[in-house]
Amino acid sequence: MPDKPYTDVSLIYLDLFYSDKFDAEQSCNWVRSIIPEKSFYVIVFWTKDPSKANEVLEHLIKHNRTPFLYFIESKSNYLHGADDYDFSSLVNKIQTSCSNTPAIEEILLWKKSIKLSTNEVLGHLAKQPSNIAEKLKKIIVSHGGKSIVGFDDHQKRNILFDALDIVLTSNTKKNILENVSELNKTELYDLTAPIKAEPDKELNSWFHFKLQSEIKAGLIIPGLICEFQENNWKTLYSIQDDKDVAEYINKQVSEQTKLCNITLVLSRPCDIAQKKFGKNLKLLSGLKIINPVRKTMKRKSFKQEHLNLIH
Amino acid sequence: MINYLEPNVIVVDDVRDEINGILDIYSSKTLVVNYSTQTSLMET
Repeated sequence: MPDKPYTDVSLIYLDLFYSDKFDAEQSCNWVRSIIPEKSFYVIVFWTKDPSKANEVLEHLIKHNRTPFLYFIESKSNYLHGADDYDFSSLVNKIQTSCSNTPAIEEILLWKKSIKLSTNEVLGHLAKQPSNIAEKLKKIIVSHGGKSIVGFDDHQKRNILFDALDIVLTSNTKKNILENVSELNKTELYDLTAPIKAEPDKELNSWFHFKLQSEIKAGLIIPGLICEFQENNWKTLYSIQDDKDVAEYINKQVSEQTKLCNITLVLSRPCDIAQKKFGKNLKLLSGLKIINPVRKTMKRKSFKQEHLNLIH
Repeated sequence: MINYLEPNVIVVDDVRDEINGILDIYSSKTLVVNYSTQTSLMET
């Protein structure tokens, strides 16, 4: 089995492991060695005893390997002649089951567009194999600035991957080749009915922040959120004295609540790399509210005049 | 070392003859495993 899980397995056919005694954990371990935690995949269990498959499924769920779809099948149902098997009807069955959740088609089209764009970026960078390293070095320094020369390799890699992410996201939209299916026109993209927008804590963080455990002191990159430490910066850039902000935060008073003056770096990577900042460093001031006072509903509500502040 | 050619359909089975049909469908992206030795019989 692989030393570490594969990155892009979408389908597993798993013959259940029967030795002297059935061991659901062992069968689950095969899957764990192939599929990373919380990944999308479909699984077919080969067994004549559905209860055994359900045991394995329980282990998979316990280990954060819940499949998108699972099928419990007996190979004998696919016998075609004496010892010949025809699995085409099973493949059709899997396809049909996936079609029953048409929204997944859109997510998978998005995934295809990412993969296609990744290959385009890779193809462009690898046009001349002999100078790939030179190209990547140029990207690292152009994106991160010359100050990163003294960074450790992991941080240099972060700069490189961050730059490649930007190229990738600017290219994916042009690689959506398929049209929206008729079903998704009426199901997924019909937004006329009221949508329940309950916040999803994990998704919310993904959409707004990329959390990094370590950030090198002195690193300046677009999107970086920093806390003002020095008083003169606080005096110049804090938004706490703004009357609209002050009105919004006047209820944020409790022993646990703390207001921090923060700023978001907006300068473009090329300006930072060429040191065209200093007086021209583009920052957006903000506030971080630690342990905010919430209403009983546990949701923040914004008055329209506060929303008008966001442009 | 990075595996440049990862499969995306996996067959975990120890009876080669019974799964030929699956291998035909996904001929280029399949890993077959031998239970007793816990090693791959073939990776195409």
